[in-house]
Amino acid sequence: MSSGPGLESLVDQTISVITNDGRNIVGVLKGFDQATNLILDESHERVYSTKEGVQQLVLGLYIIRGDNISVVGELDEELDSNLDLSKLRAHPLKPVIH
Amino acid sequence: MTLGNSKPVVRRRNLLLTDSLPLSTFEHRDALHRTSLRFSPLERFNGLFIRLFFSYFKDLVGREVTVELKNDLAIRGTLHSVDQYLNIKLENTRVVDQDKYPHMLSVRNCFIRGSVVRYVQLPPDGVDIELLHDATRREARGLQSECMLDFEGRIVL
Repeated sequence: MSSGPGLESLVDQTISVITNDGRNIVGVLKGFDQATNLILDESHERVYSTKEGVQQLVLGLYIIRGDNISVVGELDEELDSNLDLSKLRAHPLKPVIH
Repeated sequence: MTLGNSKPVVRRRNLLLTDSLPLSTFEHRDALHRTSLRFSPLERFNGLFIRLFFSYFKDLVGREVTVELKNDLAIRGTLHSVDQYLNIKLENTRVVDQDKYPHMLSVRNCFIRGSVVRYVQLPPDGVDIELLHDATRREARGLQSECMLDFEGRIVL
């Protein structure tokens, strides 16, 4: 049974996780398993709103259960530093409906 | 069961692992166990065409696809890899409506969990309809003769 893509290449990288309830959490991937449970260090949540800029809430060391994960994206630090989060206005992401 | 013409009605069933009926509880359990050794837990749960789609996606690696998720987010990118759960890894990703969804602006490679995919939009020349049709038909036929039935004739995969 092949293990396929896996998240090995993303370990120790900064990643952006989108959860099933539409939250965006950014952190350093420390570990994962077959169920896509994740261990995220130095994590913070980015709250998007249409009224004010992006809010960043510090979370620290987090374990996110795999059931709740939609997307795990590799954050490009360069691109991210070019973003002006305080100017960004957006609707929060929709929750996943199965 | 006997009808008016007094010929007993025999209902035929396709049998898999043993030709003797009825199976005792233990024989049934063991036969089922033997079946489960052939199929992975995921396959037994979903049953049907996981293998087929896994192989199909493996052939599509390197093509440009758009994955639409169940939260309405659509991500375009090059298919890098796929796994047994149909988790998808995309490279060179761009969100389709970037103004509406700036949440992934700084992400260029992503891993998408299979459970959250609604559609995978393929390039039109990436689909060999005949081949797929054929493979699906074969798989369905194969599964029909491989179904395990319990004492009441219900399909137990």
